[in-house]
Amino acid sequence: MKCAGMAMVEALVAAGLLGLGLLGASRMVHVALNAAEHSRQLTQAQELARQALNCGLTGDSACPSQAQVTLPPITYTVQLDHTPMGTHLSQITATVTWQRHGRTEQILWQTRRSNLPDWLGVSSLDD
Amino acid sequence: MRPTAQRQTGAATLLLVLGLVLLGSLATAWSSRAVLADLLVSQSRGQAQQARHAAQAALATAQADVLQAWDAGDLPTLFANSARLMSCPNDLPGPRWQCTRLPLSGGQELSGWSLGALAARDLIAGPHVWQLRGWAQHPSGQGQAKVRASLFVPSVAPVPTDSPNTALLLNGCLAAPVSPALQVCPLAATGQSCVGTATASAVHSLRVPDTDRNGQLSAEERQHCLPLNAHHLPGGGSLTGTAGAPGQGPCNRAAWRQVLGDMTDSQLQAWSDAQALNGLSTSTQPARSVYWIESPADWTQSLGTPQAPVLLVFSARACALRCPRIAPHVQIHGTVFVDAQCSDDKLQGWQAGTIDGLLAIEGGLPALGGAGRVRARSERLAALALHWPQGIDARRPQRIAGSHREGGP
Repeated sequence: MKCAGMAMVEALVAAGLLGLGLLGASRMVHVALNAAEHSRQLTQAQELARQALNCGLTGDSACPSQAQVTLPPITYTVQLDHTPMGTHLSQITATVTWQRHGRTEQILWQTRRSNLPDWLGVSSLDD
Repeated sequence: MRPTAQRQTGAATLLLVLGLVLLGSLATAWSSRAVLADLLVSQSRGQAQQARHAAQAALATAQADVLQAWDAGDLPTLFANSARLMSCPNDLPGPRWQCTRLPLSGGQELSGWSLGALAARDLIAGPHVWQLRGWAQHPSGQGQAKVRASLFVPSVAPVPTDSPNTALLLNGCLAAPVSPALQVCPLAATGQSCVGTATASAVHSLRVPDTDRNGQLSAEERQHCLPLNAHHLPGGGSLTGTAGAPGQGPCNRAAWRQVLGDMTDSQLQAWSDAQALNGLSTSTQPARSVYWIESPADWTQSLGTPQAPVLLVFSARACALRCPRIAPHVQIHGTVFVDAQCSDDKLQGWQAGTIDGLLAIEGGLPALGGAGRVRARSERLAALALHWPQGIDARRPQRIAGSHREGGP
């Protein structure tokens, strides 16, 4: 005589296990997506900081001290500061700020620039 | 009656479900790993860029140190401070390279990165070209970067390219009668001194008295100032000169300017001292090339070779009472400069040894005390033949275009 209801039990157990597994997997996917998003934003912010520092290193007065850059869906605020350190040296700071899930994220990069004059010419020195 | 055993089909379902869950988990884990790797790569790239910017900051700070020393007139001290002198990196071998750690007075730390910098220079071929190397390291060990650039630094000055092509250069006259022991040979067409047709003057004076004050130097006036005969000039050659004020006039360092141009005493002395301090000598490879002498002791050492001529300067201090004499057996390849400051009596009884190149005297030459042979050579100033690009302003530090490099050598 067939045991009534065993197929249902089996199905319920199977469904439960599958559900648990999918729950875990979806949680992992969620974390991975967050991490990917964070990584992408960080890369974009680093690139903006690098561009700002490179502009500051050229000594071009046209480098904006503050700018808003939108790389959808995030808007980054890029700030460039020059701090004199004596007669021949200045410190350049690039700060990139953006909002992520209600929190303010920020990276700060620094370098320095001297006012050593360039010699406009070609040197045959093998350097 | 016991029920017959039922075929159990749940195991297959269970296994199937477990397999599906396992597959799903593996797929999720694999994608998470890829995302994690991407996150690590982006962090690593950011770290590398920060290291690069920090190394650039070290280099800029080093450049500022050089400019500050230049403003203070203190350039030689950057390489003269023995506490900061250091062994050069492996790609800059031998005693010809001198390296010093720079103080980085603008700060040795930036955003958690430790900065360092050194300056290196070639004491033989390029004491005026400083290679600055900056580096940055993170204390955690996660990241480092190196960057370098070269600059021209006016620690020495270019020498004139139009100095008289003569064997003996005076800022005065020869006292008559000239010792028969003195022989002067000009440059010759054959390339060998004292053999063949002379192609340049043998003796040139920068202060021939214009005794008749007619604004021109006659042959008699030149002969009176430079009373040499054929015995003194076995290779022929002319006696040339430029007019000077009659009688004693202020010493205008004309010989120095003709041979050494804008180079100053302190620059030459610093260069010579640096070579000595770095271990260069006659026996090293390459050999020392610049000798600045302040001792009044007579000179007894042969110097230089035809391939590596030297510059030997007897300074004004060495000539305070009497200029050092060169021993008869001594042979100097290169240029000998005697800074007698136009006081001819300091060269009374002087001896020249054998000089293959150029003998330049800041003054006249009274009676010689012994033999003296001076044979002109075309490479007489090779020790000072440094690379100065055309059109460069040699009076201030400046970047060398295209010298910026990142990474190790």
